[in-house]
Amino acid sequence: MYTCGIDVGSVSAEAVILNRQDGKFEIVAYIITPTGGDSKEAATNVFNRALEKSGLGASDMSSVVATGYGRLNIPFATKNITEISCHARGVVHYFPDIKTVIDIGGQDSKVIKLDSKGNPIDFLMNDKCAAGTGRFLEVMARALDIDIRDFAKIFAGTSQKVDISSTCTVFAESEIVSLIGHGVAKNSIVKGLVYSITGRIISMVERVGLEGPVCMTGGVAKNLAVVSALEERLNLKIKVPEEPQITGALGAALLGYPKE
Amino acid sequence: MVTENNVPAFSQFIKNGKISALPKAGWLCTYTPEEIIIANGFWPVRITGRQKAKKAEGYFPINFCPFIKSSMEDLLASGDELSAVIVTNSCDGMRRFYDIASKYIPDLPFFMLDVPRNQNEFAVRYFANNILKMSAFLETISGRKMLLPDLTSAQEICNEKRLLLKKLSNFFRNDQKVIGARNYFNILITSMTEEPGCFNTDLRSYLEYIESQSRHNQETPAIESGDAGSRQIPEIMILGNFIDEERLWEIFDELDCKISADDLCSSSRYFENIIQSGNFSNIFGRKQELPNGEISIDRLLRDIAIRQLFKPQCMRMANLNNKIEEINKNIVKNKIKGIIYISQKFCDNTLLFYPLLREKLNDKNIPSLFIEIEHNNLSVGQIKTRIQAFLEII
Repeated sequence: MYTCGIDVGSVSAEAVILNRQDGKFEIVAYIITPTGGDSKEAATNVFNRALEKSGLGASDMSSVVATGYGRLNIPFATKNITEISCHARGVVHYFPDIKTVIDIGGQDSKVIKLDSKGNPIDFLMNDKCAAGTGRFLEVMARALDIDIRDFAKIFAGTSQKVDISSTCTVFAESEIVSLIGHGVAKNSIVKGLVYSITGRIISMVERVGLEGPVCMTGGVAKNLAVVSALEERLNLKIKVPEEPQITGALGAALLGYPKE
Repeated sequence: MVTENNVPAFSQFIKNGKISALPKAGWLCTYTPEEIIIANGFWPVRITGRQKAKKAEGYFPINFCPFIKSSMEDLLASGDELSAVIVTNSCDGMRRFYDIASKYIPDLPFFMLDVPRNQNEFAVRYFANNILKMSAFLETISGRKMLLPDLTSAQEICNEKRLLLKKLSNFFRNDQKVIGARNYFNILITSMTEEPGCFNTDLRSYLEYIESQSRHNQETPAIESGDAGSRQIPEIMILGNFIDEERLWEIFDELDCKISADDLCSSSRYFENIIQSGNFSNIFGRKQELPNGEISIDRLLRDIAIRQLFKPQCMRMANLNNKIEEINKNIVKNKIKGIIYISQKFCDNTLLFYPLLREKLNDKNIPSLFIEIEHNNLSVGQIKTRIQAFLEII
């Protein structure tokens, strides 16, 4: 019995095709693509490519569950569930004992609290502001003319950091331009930026109430600089799934199965 | 059983609302006694911040109540349609609105009604005296004195409106899908802006229509589809300040939930607590100052003051334990599974109350969702995700 989960986010769209056999789940195929300007087209594209990769047809899917901000615009989805429930379910699949999920995507960051059975019981989302999201890091990397993938290396190799006083993406960008103008080393700015984004996340974690173990999902979980800074400041080890970006789609596919 | 959304929107039933030639007096806060405005010959029109703040942005700081900014925009755009404006000292935003609007729109007369924060005999006397001053202010504009028959008649109109809205509210709570959240909250806003007598006539005929439809549907068994019978729809309560966002109410219509109780400045806090003359006079267990049965302006003002101070209270009142008690009663009575607390950005009163409320709700295992919105500037996608996720959780 196959299900498909499709997560259409602001930056990327993911599809996961899942098979359940003898009570065990197996990821048959997954695809990650940029969302672009048309979320419906991105969903169709990612679904077709996942089917192609798995060698299955749409009729083989017992359900197609949509999630992410584009979830309401996928005509072939059999139901839609929010990314909060889907990330929680996806995380529990990998790590059944997780109590707090930090999901940082392109335009949203969320902190989700789980009960002992892995059910979400509380959550916080960022307001309509890019601070504390992947977009913040992207904009800053562009302002610094640094590849975002180099952040982890720079973060690990730099002891100095500057304080980025502004938590607003637009103001932080002007602040960085000003710091560059004053000759501040880019590496110190990178370190300051990572602390700035993690500061925002930590305040959300504290409002929900920190309880370990903690897992991080979403595209920003691939950025080891952010993960390291969070671990350092929360003083605990953060678990990250092998492919954190597909956690929402995986959770959607899992929620496509009837409850046992 | 009534099938879903089979009644037309109330807007199709408005026949008389805009034909009155009465001069209009604007008001902002539900602590304003509409009876006094009507009794002085005015059409009370709530200023609801219809306009998106543009020019008004220049008069207030960035981090300021968006509802107040939009209300200022309304006055800048069409303040000349009003003969007077009644403002209360409900919050800092309202006080600043009074300061700025009365300074920069000098041709429009403003009155600041001081509303006490306590609920006791002294507060009632003080408030009744302030209501009398408000009446005197309106008398100087109308050029005529408010007489007892004016006030009695105004009270009857307001009471009828409150009763009709209460009936509508009960209907909505029992069968939300028939009226629809967007339609329901739109009717409430209309009730605050249309000429009261005409509105009552229109709402009465609307309610008659709904009742006849309901009876018809009860006689005609509906065919239920899918798993509708087995699905559990979470019963929620909505709490907050002035919320008038059509798109927000549409979200509730689109999602599977039942608003079994609402406590907003734009809903039950407007129409709950009906004045029945004389019944309030003994509220503090004291001897009545007036002989039984004798109706006078003083006695009616006292009743109005008590009605206003003892209606479901705003978070600006001094004793917030009373508010928590009110909310708890609502939770039990309506079997509420979760609370959605909606606040305008930068609203000190509601923002400061939420942490206390959340703590008390947690003690009772009632989950709550906090949503901060910006009047006339709703971030629909994010709000819908939050509400949907909250409903999935509860």
